[in-house]
Amino acid sequence: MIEKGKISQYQLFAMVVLFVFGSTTILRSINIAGRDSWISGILALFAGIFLVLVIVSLSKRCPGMTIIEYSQVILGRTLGKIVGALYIWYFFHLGALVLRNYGELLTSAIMPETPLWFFHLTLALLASYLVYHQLEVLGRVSELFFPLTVAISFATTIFLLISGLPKVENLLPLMERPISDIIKGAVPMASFPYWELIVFTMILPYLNLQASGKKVLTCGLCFGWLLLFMIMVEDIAVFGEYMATLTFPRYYAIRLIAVGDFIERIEPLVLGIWLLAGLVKVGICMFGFVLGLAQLTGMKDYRSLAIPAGVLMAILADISYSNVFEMLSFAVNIYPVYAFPMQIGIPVVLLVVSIVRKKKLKKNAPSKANPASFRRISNKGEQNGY
Amino acid sequence: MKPFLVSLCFGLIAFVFGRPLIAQKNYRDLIIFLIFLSLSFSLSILQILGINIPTPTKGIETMVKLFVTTNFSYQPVGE
Repeated sequence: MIEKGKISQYQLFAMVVLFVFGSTTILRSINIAGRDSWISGILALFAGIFLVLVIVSLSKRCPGMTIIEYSQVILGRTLGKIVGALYIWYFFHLGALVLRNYGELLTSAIMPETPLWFFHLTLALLASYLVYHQLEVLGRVSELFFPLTVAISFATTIFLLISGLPKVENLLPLMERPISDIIKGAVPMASFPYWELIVFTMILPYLNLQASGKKVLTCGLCFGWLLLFMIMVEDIAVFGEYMATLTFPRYYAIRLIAVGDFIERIEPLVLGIWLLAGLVKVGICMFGFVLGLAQLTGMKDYRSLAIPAGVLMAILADISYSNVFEMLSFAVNIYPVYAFPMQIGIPVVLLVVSIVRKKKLKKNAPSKANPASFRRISNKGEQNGY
Repeated sequence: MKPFLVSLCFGLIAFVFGRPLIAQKNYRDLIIFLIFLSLSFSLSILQILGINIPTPTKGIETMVKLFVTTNFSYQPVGE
């Protein structure tokens, strides 16, 4: 195993929550479902849970392996390597997209005169530092940042309520859109961020208690969803459908907070804590990328790749879009289709193939008359990770 | 001046991370590390010199639109 570290259940839980919360909280807006987008959010949670079940089932079939390794076991060496290369690209690209999200927020909201590349490079090199110090450090950092993120989410929600900004009328009428639009609206919401949890196929083998993977991933997903759901409902209640015209709705909502005459303009503090969650998300994507690349190319240690990966990610983030509107359009309309095969398509195919192959192995299991051949098949199955 | 500084930084990275790999005679890791480092170095220099690097986003967009045209964006009711 290239990675020798182990993470605890709590660390994995914190990583999942920060990953889900990460860049989604700054970008999430209403989509085709309009003010009913929060209902689409509930549907998206079920889609996320489905992915978690697929991931956990695959990791149970191939214990101790990442998706890069078990795709080669299940699909064969050549096809498995192609699938592995696709995932490496996806993790790398996802990290770059998250960097760009934060870069755009920081330049358009706080520091308009600072060049974008500066934020990309700083965040990417910080993530490289985390990855260089391996998974355990990433876990500990998540453990540290998690309470801060949760506290600030609840605090801003309460402050907004006290400020009297959310209005129930903005959430009404309920089910204004046809049900088909609400279901369609769940697709981009599932794709960003719940199905992005596919990156955790690179981390799950390093959980100290393998049996608890399903519980931890599901709890993390549900908790992250709860935070996002709370934020979404509140933002719709504040802005109504006007929210669709805002590039960073949550940020603008927080700017409006005014409790008494002393809790005002708290957005720099909130932004600082969001950045910590973003750092963890970029770190997880980068970890998936460098570990996957090391496994695919047969390297002994992935740490030397951390810095070049960070620089490359920052460059890709820089050249990805020409402006913030292009970024938003890509995130809503193109990303769900582009990421679908990597997020859910390939894992489902891997699971189906592994089930069919296992059934075939059982079917071909010989009778008592020839125990030697049974042993041979069993060994083959074990070698293949079944 | 900027390209020189960037070259210096990359030289330093190559020295710090490459030296232990040479000491361990881990040539496979060294080759992959150097390939990645050269790739990031060349792209960084291109960026600094202001040379346009083609973005993969356009390619992805074209590919996706070849297969399916989706619109999940917000539209006001009745449109």
